[in-house]
Amino acid sequence: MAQSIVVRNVRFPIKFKLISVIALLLLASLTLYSYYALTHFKKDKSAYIYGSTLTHAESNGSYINTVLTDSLDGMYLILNTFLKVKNEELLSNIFESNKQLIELQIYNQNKKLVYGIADKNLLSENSLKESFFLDLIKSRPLDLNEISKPLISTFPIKELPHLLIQAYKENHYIFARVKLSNIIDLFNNDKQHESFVYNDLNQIIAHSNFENILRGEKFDIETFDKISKSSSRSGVYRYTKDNITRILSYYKIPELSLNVLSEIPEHKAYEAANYLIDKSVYFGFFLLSIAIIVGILFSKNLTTPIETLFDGSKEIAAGNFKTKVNISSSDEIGALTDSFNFMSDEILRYMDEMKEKLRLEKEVEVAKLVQDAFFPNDSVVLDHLDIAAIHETASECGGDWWGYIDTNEQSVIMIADATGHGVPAALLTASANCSLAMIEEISINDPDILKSPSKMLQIINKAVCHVGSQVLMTFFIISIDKKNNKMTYANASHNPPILYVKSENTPDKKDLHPLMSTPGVRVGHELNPEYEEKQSSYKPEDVLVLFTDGIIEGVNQDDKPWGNRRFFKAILGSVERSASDIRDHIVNEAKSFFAGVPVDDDLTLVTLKFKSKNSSKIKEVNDEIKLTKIHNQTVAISKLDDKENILTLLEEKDISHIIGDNSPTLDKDLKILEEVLNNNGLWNHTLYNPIDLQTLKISTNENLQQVIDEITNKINYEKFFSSPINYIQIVTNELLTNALYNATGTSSRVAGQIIKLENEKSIELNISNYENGIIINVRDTVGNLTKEQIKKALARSAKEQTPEQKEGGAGLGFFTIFNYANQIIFNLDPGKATEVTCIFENNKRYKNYRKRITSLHIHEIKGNS
Amino acid sequence: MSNLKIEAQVVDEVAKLLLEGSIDEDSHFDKITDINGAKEYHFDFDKVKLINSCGIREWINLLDKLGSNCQIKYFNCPQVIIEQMNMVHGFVPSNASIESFYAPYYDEDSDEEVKILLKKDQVKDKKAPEVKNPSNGNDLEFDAIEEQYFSFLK
Repeated sequence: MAQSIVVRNVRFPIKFKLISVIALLLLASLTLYSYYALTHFKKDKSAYIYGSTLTHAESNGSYINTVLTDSLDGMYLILNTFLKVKNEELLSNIFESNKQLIELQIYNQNKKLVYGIADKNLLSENSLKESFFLDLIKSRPLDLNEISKPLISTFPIKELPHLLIQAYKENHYIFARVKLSNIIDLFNNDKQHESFVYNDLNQIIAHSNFENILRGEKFDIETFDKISKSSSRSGVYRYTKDNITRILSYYKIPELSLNVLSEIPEHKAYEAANYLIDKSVYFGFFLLSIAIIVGILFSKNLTTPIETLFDGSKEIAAGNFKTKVNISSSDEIGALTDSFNFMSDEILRYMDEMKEKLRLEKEVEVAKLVQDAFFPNDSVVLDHLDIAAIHETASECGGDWWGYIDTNEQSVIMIADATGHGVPAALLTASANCSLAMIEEISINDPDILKSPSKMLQIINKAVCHVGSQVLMTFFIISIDKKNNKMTYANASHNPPILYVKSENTPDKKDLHPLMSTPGVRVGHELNPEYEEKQSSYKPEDVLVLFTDGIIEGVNQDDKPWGNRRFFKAILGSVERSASDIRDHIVNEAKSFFAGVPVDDDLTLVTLKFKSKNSSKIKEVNDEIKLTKIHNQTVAISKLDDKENILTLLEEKDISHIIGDNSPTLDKDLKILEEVLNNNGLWNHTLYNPIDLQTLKISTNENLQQVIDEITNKINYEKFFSSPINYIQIVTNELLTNALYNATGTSSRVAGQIIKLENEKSIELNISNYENGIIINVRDTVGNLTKEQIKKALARSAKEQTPEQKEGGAGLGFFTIFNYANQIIFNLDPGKATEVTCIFENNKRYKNYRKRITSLHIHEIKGNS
Repeated sequence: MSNLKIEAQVVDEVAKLLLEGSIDEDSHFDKITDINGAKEYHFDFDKVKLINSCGIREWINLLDKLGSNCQIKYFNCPQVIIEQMNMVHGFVPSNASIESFYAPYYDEDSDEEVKILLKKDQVKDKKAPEVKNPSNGNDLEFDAIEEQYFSFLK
């Protein structure tokens, strides 16, 4: 089912992001630049304003100094001339040559006017009287030194603004009125600045606005003090007066005790600068606006193709793979558009390929199903052998194959491995399978064909050759003669199968025999090859393992192959079990070694376990228990542990014959059981061909342990682990003690008490080695013990696992024997005899001895025996 | 008629008891029950070669007589004793502990079974410790089913 695409809402489109970024960047840049540039501009402008204001004051000061010094020089020249020559004409010429002088009067030391001259054009009627000067001397007394400073004060007449200079030289007072018009004109030339001059009395003596002089205004006293105390001749101040901030520059003329000042209101001084700043800000905003407009146009140009691509991708996501996007730009988006269109084309192409692949996969799946039909079931039970197999392919289809033919006389097992794997190899297995069917058909008229693996190989080879494929097959065929327990085999370059020959000892490498022969060429290699036939024999419990190389060549993470050594060890670790258990054990061992690393070849394993004819009657109830009937007696072959066998099979199901599934002599056990039940006979040591049999008659428990020690020390323990004697002694002790109790019928006994049987009663102990182990047999001639007693005692012990607190035995004897012996056989002849036989099987490993599931038989003889 | 010899030595309220022979229905434990004032009983089973089902009952009865106020420690337990402990309940009551015991190992190279005396602390999570053959230095393989053999270690 197609899924609908879930796309988030676009809350902040790219175009707005771009515009925002551009605007923010510009705003930030302009602000930063403006701040930086205008700050420096303002600083520079301030320096210029302060500088020009200062220059203004200095130039004014220089000019005033020159004018007044010239006037003063003229005054002194007239004085000197007056004193030396007193020539009126000369004095008048000197006076007239000095254009600044309006009037000049000279007084002697007695303050009497000695000379006076005035500009008749200017002062025809306004010449000052003597009293004015004499009052002036009193009000502003001069320092009467030769080098005294002249005093300058204003003479505020609107019609003729001028200054009054008084000096003292050559013992004469000299007064002069000096024109102010030139200075005022100078001041008025500059409309920006307000200029003025004040004297040491803080009197403004010259001002650009003459009204101020007329009003007799004084300069700001605070600024006056500040300038007076300043050590520099000129300078600039910024001060506030009448809520107006002003820039004030000064120039000192100390020779005349005058200060020349120029001031300008700050807002006026900065008027031009502020105008420029305002212009710059407006220009900045103009630029920003232009940039935003350009940004909008640019982002639209950029985002429109992206939106088109986005719409196209939504179409693709909705499954419309034929969608094409048409964008003609030559930038990366144009290139992306080409990729997008290419992608949609590729998706369409890929989908077509996927459809084709799916179709092929379905065909391969069908092929796999067909190929699966070439294989027999994983578990096959034949009358003389059990077969268990596993077949795993490295890919969908495999090149391994196995099959079998079974007739009354012969069984034929085949295994093959085509070179490579996958479909070509799998197709070849079809030829092998058809050949098997063909051979089976031929065998109806020619049964001997099944006895000749080489002929069968030649038939298969022809079939494969006619396929004409380049793929070859390794092949192995074994023909089993059921009647004579013989095997004939031929090999076409296949891995030789491994035959485990059952021995009485712990399975060992020497028990493994590869079925070797001269390997023939692989099937399909040439049309008429020759294959050597070899023969071998088998017996029940032998195991044959056929395999392909996938299992031994499979590797782990370290790239180490599983190899023959581990393969053989896995076989030996399970040969005593069923064919399916052997298969499972080997495969589990291999896979745990591979640790998840996939096998890159097909893997086929076929295990065969040969069995006796009796075995054919055994039916598997579940994975743990197999049941068979022998003379109406149920016999269980069990994998359960000893305790479970007692509680489940003996107590619950009342099965009197339980054989441990891992009995090394399973076939023989069944054979003996069949013989005993057939004959309804005694079941004791005599059936086992005892070697060096020791027989003792026991009638008392006196020195019983010493007797046991002596007799058990004579047993041969060569085929055992180091100390089975302890267990033999315990079991013998238990058997004899039980027998003595049962024979005497003693229910209570004091520790250390000697028991003695009556004359006719005795206990017989038989102990010996035999082919497969040690056998201990204890027989009483009373026959008191019943099957129910045994069942009850074993079941109680198994459940409670504690001794009984009662008179006599502890109730644990049978359970102890059951735990230690490998086989325990109760042979009950009620009222006549009770025989208990315990078998310890040859075993070099204590571990295997403990693993052995104890076989238990409770055999009751019916009628006379 | 008893097949069991007992040597008793009491030092500082610890009764050290060396057992030798077979523990069966005729075993007398008077030497043990007669000890007064022992707070700990150390049983050395090194020389015990057999214990039968009646012997187990007698032993459990002995433990009952000693009571639960004393401390019981088993030393040098042979395989047959360990197997009985695993088979029968009551052999190792709550006040008893197995301090050392023999365990079967197998030397694959020399095809030899070796009994190794283990201390209880050597067995962690019922896994047999790795040991070497004292006679030749070969690595030994534990030769029993660990879960089964160490089941006495609760």
